[in-house]
Amino acid sequence: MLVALLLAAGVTTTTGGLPARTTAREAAVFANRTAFTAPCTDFFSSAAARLAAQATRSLAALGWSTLGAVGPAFTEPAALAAVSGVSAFYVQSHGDHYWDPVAHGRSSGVRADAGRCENAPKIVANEIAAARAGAAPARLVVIASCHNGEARSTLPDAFGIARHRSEPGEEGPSSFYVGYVGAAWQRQMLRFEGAFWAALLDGESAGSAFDRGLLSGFNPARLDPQWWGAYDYRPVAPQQIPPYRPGQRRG
Amino acid sequence: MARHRAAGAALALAAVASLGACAAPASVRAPDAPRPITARESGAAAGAARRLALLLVEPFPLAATTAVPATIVIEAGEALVEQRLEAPDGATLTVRTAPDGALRLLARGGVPTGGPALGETALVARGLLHLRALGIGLPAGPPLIEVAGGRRVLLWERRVDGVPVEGDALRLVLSRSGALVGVSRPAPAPLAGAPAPMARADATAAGAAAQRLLGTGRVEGTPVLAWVAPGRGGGDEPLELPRRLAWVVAGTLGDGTPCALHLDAATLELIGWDWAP
Repeated sequence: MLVALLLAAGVTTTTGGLPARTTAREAAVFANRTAFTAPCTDFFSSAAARLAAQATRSLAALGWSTLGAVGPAFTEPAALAAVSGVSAFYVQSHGDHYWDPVAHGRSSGVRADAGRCENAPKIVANEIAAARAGAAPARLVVIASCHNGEARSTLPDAFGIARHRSEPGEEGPSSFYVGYVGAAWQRQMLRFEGAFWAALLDGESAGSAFDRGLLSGFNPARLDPQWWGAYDYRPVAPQQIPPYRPGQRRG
Repeated sequence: MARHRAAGAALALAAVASLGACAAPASVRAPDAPRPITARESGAAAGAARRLALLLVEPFPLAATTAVPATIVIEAGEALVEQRLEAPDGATLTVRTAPDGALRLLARGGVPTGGPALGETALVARGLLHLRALGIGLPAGPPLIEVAGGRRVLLWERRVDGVPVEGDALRLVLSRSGALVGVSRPAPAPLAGAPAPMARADATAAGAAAQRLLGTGRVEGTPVLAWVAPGRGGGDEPLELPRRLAWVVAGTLGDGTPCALHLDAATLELIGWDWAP
């Protein structure tokens, strides 16, 4: 409920029909619950909510103000509005390199929840890039879906993150992207990401936290994590700077 | 994973038993009021981490190292003491030990990701060298080797009666050039029932049962046996519960999503599932 309220607050703040820019301290967390549990499947699953909860909890502890949605409120417009200005983004859903009729080519992305079992609207890299036009590169992006850790995924670019790894001790961008290669199994994600978030909360760098994920109990035959960005980067929220007010002396 | 910072009570009792010279607690129940880990316990944990640092094949820079106050971590129902050392160059060493002093996790932060890539044979040899240096008994047989995020993950699965136990592997993570990134050794998971006398349905029956559950989806391949963590559904399996012998049946859901059903080996009851969106 809280997440839904935050989402409402985040996506209904519009100016002239355009989503208002969120602040550099904001993070968005979205998860597709509908397609992954009964009645859409014959089986019950709490994985989507648990993945989103551990991401939300961890981002908040790292200083981020979070908005987003789990379940039917995770729609294409809601996600694109939220993604336009946030600096950290987590999503759990179906993912692939989808055919984009506008671009006449493949565009990587994920499916919204939208309360649909199948064929929910897609949110693809081209749309994200357009929504984020002019925004600074994202600082932390975790795409908990199939395929979006592959070298061909265009999602890192959409968030302004180069597909390059900066070594420990090397100057690099203030960005970190995590995705999975090929099929990514939910139970394995829960273990990997649980260790990843826990290490970040311990004060580890993003690269070191990724390494801690590799040491967790996931089955590497069923999950192939990948990252780009700067190993040494710590994705804590930037200090909130009070907005400049007219007449205020600049320090 | 439930994580408890300094006020991690349930484990503090166990930590006292391990790190102090106190008598073993009569119960592992959490006390009513949590208490922070003591300076003595923290100091003992730091000593253990420093001793391990000295054993590493690639030296950890201990000079001017800072020991972060020890914390209590509960993982798969087990209380662990965690100690972290931070070197001035940004390198970190995290060590988790069980109440009996057994090493559960050693993780180095800041290990380079590049360097020349070792072949598999050299990688395994290097891995065994790391294990021997740390005093970890050498596992039998070749490991499963996977590449992930530029690292090399070496897994020696625990097998009981020839059947793998989910999540119960000695895991070694190395850089591509063989430097130690970390090692993890979970406590052996309890098993529900001895395997030998258990009645087992056969793979054909398991496949047929799975097909009935999948409806418009379909079973693919041959079911295999595994000791799995049971849950009510996908993603909610408590890792501290005993593993159950199950047929793992691969297939697809009605929309084509890959899935795996876990059916109790004897009754073919659904005890869990996994899927890849």
